[in-house]
Amino acid sequence: MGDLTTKEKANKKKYLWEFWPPMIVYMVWVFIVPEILKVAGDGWWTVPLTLSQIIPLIFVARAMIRFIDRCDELMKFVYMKSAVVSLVVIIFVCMGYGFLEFRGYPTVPLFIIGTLVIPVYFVCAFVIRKKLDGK
Amino acid sequence: MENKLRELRKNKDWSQAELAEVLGVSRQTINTIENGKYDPSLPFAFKISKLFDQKIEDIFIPDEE
Repeated sequence: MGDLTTKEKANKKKYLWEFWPPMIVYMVWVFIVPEILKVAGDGWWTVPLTLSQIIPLIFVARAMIRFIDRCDELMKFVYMKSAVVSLVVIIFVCMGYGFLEFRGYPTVPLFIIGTLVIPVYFVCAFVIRKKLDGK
Repeated sequence: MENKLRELRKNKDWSQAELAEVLGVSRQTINTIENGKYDPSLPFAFKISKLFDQKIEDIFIPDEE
């Protein structure tokens, strides 16, 4: 990481500025919304309020996409390949566990799958980069 | 695909990081191209050939079928 070029440093700095504000909003909002819902009752507005937790994540995703757009072609290749590999891994894991659920294993909430994608993606990106680096 | 990027870079006495800086890419991109692990896109190959003032086919040698 110490030998980043000027362009990479600028890209990373811009990414952090675009990534952290919505992420902080999300981390705060995700704790506030359940507290409001506890006292809110069953009003129609609780549905959009619940879904509002996704809004800051849209901006987080936007920051990530814009970061990849600014990367050079090798990094774009690495991130795209990581996305495809992690998608395939998640499909197999979900299908495998789905079959186990038919056999009586406890049902896992969909929320877990979304959360699982992130570490799997980063592991894939790390492995692909290491493979490219090795002679 | 083989290439002469490492040779051309060393002729200029540049490090991978310096060449990466000039071309506006990461050092890893230069490293993977030099090691033949990644073939650059046509626009990037043109950029490299322009920098070293050589024809693309003099820098990148396609594998024999």
